[in-house]
Amino acid sequence: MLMLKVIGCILIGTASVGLAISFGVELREHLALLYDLRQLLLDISQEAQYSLLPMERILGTRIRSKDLRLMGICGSLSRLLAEKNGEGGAVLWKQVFDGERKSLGLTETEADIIENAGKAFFGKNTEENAKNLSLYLERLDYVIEQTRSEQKEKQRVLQTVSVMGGFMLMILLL
Amino acid sequence: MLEISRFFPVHIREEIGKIQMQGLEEIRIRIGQPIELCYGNGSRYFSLEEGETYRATKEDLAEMLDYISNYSLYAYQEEVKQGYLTVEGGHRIGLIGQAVTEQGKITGMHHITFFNFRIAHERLGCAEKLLPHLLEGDNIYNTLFLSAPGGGKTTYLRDCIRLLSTGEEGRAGLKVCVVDERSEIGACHMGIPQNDLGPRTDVLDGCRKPEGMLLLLRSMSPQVIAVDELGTEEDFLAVEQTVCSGSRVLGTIHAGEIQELQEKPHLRRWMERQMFERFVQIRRRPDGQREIHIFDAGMRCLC
Repeated sequence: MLMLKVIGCILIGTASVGLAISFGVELREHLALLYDLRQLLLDISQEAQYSLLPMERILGTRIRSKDLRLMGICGSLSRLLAEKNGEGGAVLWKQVFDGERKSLGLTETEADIIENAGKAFFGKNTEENAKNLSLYLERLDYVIEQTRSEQKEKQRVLQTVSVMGGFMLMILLL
Repeated sequence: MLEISRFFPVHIREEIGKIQMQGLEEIRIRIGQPIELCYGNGSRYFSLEEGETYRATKEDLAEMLDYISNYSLYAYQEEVKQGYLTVEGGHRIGLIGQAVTEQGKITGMHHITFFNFRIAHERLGCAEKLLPHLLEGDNIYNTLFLSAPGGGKTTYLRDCIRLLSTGEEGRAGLKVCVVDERSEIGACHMGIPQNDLGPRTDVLDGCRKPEGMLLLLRSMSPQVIAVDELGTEEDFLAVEQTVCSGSRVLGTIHAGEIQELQEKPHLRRWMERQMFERFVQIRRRPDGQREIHIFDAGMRCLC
């Protein structure tokens, strides 16, 4: 019996430490995603200014992202633009990002910025696009800065809570 | 028609796809007005299946602009300034609205509400009969095609380029370089000529003629340089330099009659020096057919 309790305690302890670590990894991945999104916006803008190609080509063939989810989004957006079926470019951008919001795990504020950032790529001219982009990048930078500053604090709290929870369970078990 | 119909709003696309293409030269779209289909022998309004004439709305035009520019108007800033852009298939779309000017120069276009789709019609082989008159051994005479606007000089020039570049039995193809300032000859879309210009043709697209001709002389060692719509003194100075460099020139100019060339003051100098050795005068008859006369350097009619 005692042996079982000890094994149970070891398992709970391992699980709580594992949970604490996975919380930390998740927060780091989320921050990495925000950086990837920022990079994506910059890459699209720079490619558009340099090559002056239509957005469907840029998104379909020119843009490479480390994040496979973002690559998938670019690909489907490019296909939708090529179909020319009614909606405007910025609207399609918003629809596609809105559809992927859950899989990306974005907060409401982050999703709002990214979904509207499409306005920076479908304007009348490059100046208009550049001005729009600077606005959305500024907002995204603020969110990234906040996430970064909160990351350590959140990580510490989540790790403490999960380890403490594990200890409590162990005490109850013993 | 499929190429063109995809630029139209979704709700009329199917009907647009059904219109008669034979002889269609232009589709003109004006805000609040019926869509006009211009054929060689007259025009008619586009109507829906129910028979009612369809009037283009502001929303339709905005949607069309999205499609024409592939949702990327920024990519066509320069073309919009010029008032036209070339799309896949070589069709040219003229677009105008409220011009934005800076120090008297057009820097952009707002509220684009008038479109003119000029349907590309390549007439392969149309210049076959006149080519023997332009050949001088293995090369060609410096030749000027002239007609009134819409007369077809660019079409004949394009076919001449193709024939010269391709060659034939007993005549090798020539290295032809084209300065396509307004993308009318090759109709390049994303750098790819949409019209057949032959296997030995290089196209410098969207470049001013004087700079373009000199650039080609330096970089591409052309045997023939082809240009459209020569007009300014600067153009003819570049032609002179090209001719002096050993290349031949094929060009077009706006003129209804050959005598008009003598009356253009900035052309007189080159006419007197007989820089051009052949003139191809193209006249459009009321039935849409073309009447062609070829003249030599002394303005004598050869045929």
